[in-house]
Amino acid sequence: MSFWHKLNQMDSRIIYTALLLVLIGALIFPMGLPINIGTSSQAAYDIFNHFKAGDILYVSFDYDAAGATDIQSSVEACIRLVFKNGGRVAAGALWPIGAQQAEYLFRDMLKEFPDLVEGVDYLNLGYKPGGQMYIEKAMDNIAEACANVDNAGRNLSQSPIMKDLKTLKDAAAVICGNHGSPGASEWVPMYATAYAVPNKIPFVVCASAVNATINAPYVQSGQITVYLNGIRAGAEMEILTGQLGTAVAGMDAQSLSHLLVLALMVLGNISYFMVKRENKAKKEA
Amino acid sequence: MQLSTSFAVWLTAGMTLAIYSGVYKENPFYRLVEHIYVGVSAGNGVVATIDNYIRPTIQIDIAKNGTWTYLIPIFIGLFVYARYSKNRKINWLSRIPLAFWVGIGSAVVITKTFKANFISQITATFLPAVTNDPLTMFNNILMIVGVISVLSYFFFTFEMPRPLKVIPKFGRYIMMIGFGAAYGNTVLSRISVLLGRLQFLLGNWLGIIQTRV
Repeated sequence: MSFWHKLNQMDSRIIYTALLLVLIGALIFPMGLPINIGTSSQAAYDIFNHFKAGDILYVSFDYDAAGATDIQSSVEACIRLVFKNGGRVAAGALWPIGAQQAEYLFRDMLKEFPDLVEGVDYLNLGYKPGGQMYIEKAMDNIAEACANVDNAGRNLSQSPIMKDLKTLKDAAAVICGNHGSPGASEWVPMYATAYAVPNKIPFVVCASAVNATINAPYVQSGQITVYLNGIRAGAEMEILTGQLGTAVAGMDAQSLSHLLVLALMVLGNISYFMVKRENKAKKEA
Repeated sequence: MQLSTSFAVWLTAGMTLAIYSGVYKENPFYRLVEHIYVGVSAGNGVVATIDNYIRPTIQIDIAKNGTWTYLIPIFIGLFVYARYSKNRKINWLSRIPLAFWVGIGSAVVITKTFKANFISQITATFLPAVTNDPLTMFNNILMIVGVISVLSYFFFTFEMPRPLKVIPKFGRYIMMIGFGAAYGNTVLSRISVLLGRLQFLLGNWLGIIQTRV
């Protein structure tokens, strides 16, 4: 069996091992590959860096632990800028685990901004079922859409932030952390197209990279104001906010693993044609 | 290197390794953790829905605020379980809540989704083919040509004459570029998931790396 035949029939576990070694190597010995700031990250930074004191950002945590590596850094950077400027944050979730992701994020934020008060500066509304129907109801009355309770089961009337957030229309901007459905595909028709676009309210989507091609038409049409794609956008946002975290730490590993995938794709294509040529030569012989 | 002393971290690390062991070979640890994951996810979803929505709706909206009209959709909603009845005189009742769902779903699609996913997408392709900025002009022309050629690929009414066949062929190449971009983003996303787990294992568990720079 020739080298190309062997390569063509390579055990997938060898590829997994190579990928694992590249990722572990890059994480233990980071090289500090350059990360350039893209226009989307800069646009998101400009929006949240100019957030006014007292303004409310509504964040929908529509992702679980699997999507967190891709999404959480971008969302965290945006929220950090809002708190830095004296803004307030209300968090909702269309995914059950999303409420926990919001809890983790607020817990980290409290270490940086110890003066923040729950219910006054931020509030976790928790998971609310319904997807599109929740958004539609929240456009008229958030309290009713949330069955009047937050994530901890407290009545929403006890939280001062809710006095200024009667409907989604009271939010100065909305972020959707998107890892699938329900997510951006629900927010775009129910909120962005119906309200944010005509009223020029920023609607930012921080999404896992797998959703990029699904959401790209909404970016081109202007229904999504800013689109932060995957861990790369997270790293850019961390650099812009000056708080380097997991996204920047993982970018070397991410870049090198892509190089490995590219190399394997090139090798795979070469081996395909080489085997084809060898088989043809055998037949002719 | 500083090993974690937290039981939760060790448990999470063990479950992560058990799940990834399935990549090498099917084994009982992988199966066990897979079933735990499915069970916990389903249980968490049910508890979160009851705790965050159903219970407060009954306790606050209905019992405390006296919004008794909520009982009507709840009552009609319960009819959906009639389909499990073997009695034909009863099980037709399940069609009533389904009719509401279909009606509401159609109304939402027609009023909101149709505009967002169809009208807005069409108007977004109405771009000027001539602009002062050459790069914008190139982008706009590429968009217009791309949309027309991809749409022509799905034109099945009659076979196109030979000189026009180049248009759907170009559309096919445009779609292949789209599929390539989708694949690239999928790789990016899936590696991110693995990266997150490795950062947890090497950082939070083994203490070899710092997860924060």
